[in-house]
Amino acid sequence: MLAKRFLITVWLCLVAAAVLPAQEGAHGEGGGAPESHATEQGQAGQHGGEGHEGQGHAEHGHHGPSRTMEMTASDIFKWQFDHSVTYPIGFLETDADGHQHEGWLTLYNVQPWQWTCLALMLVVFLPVVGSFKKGQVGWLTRVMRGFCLWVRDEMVYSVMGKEEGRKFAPLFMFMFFFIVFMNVIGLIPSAGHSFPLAIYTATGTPYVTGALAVITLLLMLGCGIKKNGAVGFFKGLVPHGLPWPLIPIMFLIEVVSLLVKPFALTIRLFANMLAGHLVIASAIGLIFLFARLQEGAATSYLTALPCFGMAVFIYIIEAFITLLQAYIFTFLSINFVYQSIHQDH
Amino acid sequence: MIAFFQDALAQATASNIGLGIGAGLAAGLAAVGAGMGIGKIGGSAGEGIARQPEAAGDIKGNALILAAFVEGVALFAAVIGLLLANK
Repeated sequence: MLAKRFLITVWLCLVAAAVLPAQEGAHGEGGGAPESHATEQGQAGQHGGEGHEGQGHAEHGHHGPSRTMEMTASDIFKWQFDHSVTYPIGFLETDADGHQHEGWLTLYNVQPWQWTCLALMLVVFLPVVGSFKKGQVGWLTRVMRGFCLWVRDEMVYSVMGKEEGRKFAPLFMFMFFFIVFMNVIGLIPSAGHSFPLAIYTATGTPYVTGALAVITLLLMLGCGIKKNGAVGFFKGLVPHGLPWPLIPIMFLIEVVSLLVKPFALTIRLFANMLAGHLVIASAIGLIFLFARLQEGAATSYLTALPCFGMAVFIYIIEAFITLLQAYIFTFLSINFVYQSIHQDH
Repeated sequence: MIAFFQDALAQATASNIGLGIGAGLAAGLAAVGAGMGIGKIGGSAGEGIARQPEAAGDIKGNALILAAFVEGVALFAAVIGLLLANK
């Protein structure tokens, strides 16, 4: 009980730290917000004047007027939604005209947070691996051991069975925890709009979830073909006992459904994470919108309260959804792979 | 009268107001469909658990997965709405 209260207090302090600098801007006192905007505009200027491809990203961080009182309603919401926008942070390519544009090696603000997640996973799970040799383990290691066991027994073994699941368990364990860490790291309230301050949800982009879904697709194809043979796999896509005129049509439909499955995985995870963050951002944006409508009167503190409550409410739901979506992504991947191995089920 | 509506239409197309309306409709209608779907799943799951409390664990897991399928379709529409609204 005490621990719960403590955690809630810590969280509220973090949110206050994230919201307060911007609110100072709202009341025309200067403070955190103008500073962050200065860095933003510096950043925008840094890769401003890019080619046509970079135009959209050059706009990132350019929020027009820096004070809430001078913003229009759409400015306010855009300023909040900027947390969910990807933008390049390094390794831009320079073409012949001297324009910088995004290339194959360009680093976006997505990747550093993926690396952070990988590093965190190493820190958390290396002791788990080591704990099988040593007798004594800490509380975190014990919790994570339980989690690993749960993923293995309830998700992988319950679908694939013990014999086959043994091969796939590590991969799906990694998939689950990678998604969980990326989702959860995005829940940390962060101040500022530029790279090192603003924590980014890597799963909130179709690129990251798409790459994870491509792994599932390759596994479906690879394991299916390995088990059934290349011809047998595609033959097995069509149900038995169909009248022959239907077979080409069914084959097409089944191939499409094979490709749609990972696509749906991509969109589901990406849209869930992005939508949750946008709803929170909208609730926080309402605070500034109401402050703007009342022209910064003291009553805007009052109208901020329900908006803040709504943001916290959505945040709690979102905390549940991060884990649920990771579970769903992994569980569906396991099901799809198993179905392509055993096609008659 | 007709000229008035034509003017209004011209203004609306000039300011791309249709995109906003379309995005709103996409999100709203998708929410209606997903609400009906998830409502049915939840209702049936509740009924099933009430009839067979010992199978509550299995039913809960399946209901979550099925709800995710329904939600996924609704989120397709939400993404399309977002794309429209940001155009």
